Amino acid sequence: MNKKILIYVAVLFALIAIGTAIFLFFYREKGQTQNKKELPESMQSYRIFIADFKMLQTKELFLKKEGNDLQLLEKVLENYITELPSHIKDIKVLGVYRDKENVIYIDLSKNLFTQGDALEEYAILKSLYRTIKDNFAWVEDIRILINGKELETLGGHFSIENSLKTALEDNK
Amino acid sequence: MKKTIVILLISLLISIVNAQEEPRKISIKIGKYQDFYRFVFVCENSAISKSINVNLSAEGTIKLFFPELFSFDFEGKTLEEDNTIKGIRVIIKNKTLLIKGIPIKEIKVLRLENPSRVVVDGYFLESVADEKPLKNTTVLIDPGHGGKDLGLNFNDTNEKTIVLNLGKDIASKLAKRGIKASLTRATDDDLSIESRIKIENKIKPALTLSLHLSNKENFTVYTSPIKKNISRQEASIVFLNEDRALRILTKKINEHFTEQVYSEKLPITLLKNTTSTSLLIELPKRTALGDSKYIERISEIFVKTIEELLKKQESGKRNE
Repeated sequence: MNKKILIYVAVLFALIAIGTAIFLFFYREKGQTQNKKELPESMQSYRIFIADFKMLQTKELFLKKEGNDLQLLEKVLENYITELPSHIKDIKVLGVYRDKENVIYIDLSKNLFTQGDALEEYAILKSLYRTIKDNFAWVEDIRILINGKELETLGGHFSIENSLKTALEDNK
Repeated sequence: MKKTIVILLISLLISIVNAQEEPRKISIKIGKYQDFYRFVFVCENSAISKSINVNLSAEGTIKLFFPELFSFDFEGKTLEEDNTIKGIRVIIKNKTLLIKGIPIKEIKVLRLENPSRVVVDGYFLESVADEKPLKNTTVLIDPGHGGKDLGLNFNDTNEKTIVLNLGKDIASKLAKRGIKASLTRATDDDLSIESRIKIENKIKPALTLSLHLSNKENFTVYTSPIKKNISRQEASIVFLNEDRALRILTKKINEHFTEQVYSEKLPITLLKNTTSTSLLIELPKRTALGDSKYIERISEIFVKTIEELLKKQESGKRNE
C-alpha cells in the first residue's frame, strides 16, 4: 500500500518537473520572438558615435534596409553630421565613393572642423572613424574630401592626407 | 748587554708613543650623480663619525669639523692641505675640511655603519655645473598653423600670430643664453604638418616644442603615445624625457600661473613622427587678450623649463 503511494508521489513530481521545463522552454522562446519583433526585418540598427570632449557617446539609429552598402553608409553619415556640435553647421555629404581596396572617400561640402583645440579635433575624427568602421566592417580605410579636394588637415593638428586610419593610429 | 737592552726598550717606547701621536686616517670617496655630488668619509669607528659636524655656508662651501686631527686618504693617497679632486677643491685646515669649487645649494647628511661613515650629498646648482654642454644642443620651436590656417580666431587677433610672436621671443631668449634655437616658421606662411616633420627629422633637435592656443582657461600639454620614425629602444628614452619634460613644465606653470595644467597623450601627427622629445602646448585663451606681461611670463617660464630639461637630458646622457 505504502509502495503504491510512493510511486504515485514520484510520478506526480516527475509530471510537475516535466510541465515546468516545457513551460519555461516555451516562455523563453516567446520572449525571444517578442524581442525580435522590436526590430522589423526591413530595418537595421546602426551606432552613431558622438564627439563629447574626451569620451565618445553612442546613439542608436534605425534605418530601412534600402539601397546598397554605400547608400546606407551615406545615410548613416548624414545622421552623424546632424549630431555634430552646434558650431559645425550646414555640412552636406556631396558623395561617398569606394575604391578597389574598400577605401571610402567621403566628399563633404565644408570642413568639419576649423576652430578648436587638438583634443576636439581628435574627438571629431575618431567619432567619424568609429561611426563608419563599427557599422560597416568591410571598410578598410577612410579619406575625407572637401568639395572634391583632398585636405592635409582639418584643424592643423592631425594630418589626414594619407588616411584616417593612419592619422588616428595610437599603437605600433 | 744591559745597556743594549735598555736602549732597545727606550727606542721601542719612543716608537710606540710616536705611532700613537700620528693622526688617525679617514678615507674619502667622491662620486657625481645627476644633480648631486656624494662625499663619503669612512672612519675607524662610529664615535668618530658621530662627532663630525657638517655645515653648508652661504657661498655653497661644505664645511666639516672633526673632533681631532686626522689625515685624509683619497684613492690610497694622503691628501695635502690644498687638493683638487675631480674639479672640486678640498682644503684641509687643522680640524676642518672644506669642499669648494661647486656651488652647492643643499646638503643631506647621513651617518651609517659597517663601515662607520658619514655620507654628505651636496646638491649643486646645475646652471654652473652644466653650462657647456647646452651650447651644442638645438631646440626646435614650432609655432602652430600659419598662412591661410589662422587657427583659433579672437576679436582682433588669431592663434597663428600669437604663437609666432611667442615662438620668436622664446628662440631669441634661448639664443641669448647660448642655446641654439630654430623655428619651423619665422613668418606668416603656410606650412604643412609634413614639412614641419621633415624639418624636425633633418635637424634632430634635443627638444621640439609646438606652440598652440586653446579656447579653454587652462594649459594643456600633449605628448604622443607612439613614435613612428625611431626604434623602440630610442622611443623608450624619448618617452622618459617627455615624461620628465612634462613634470618640469607642470611644476613651473603651477608655481607661476593660476591656470591649471592638464596633460594628454594623443597621436598628434607632428608628435608621433618626430625623433626627439616633443611636446605640443596649448596656451590658455587668456594669452589672446593682449596682456603683454602675461605673454612675457609664459616666454620666461618656457625658456627656464627648456634650460632645465636640456641640462637634465645632458646629464642623463653623461651618466649613461
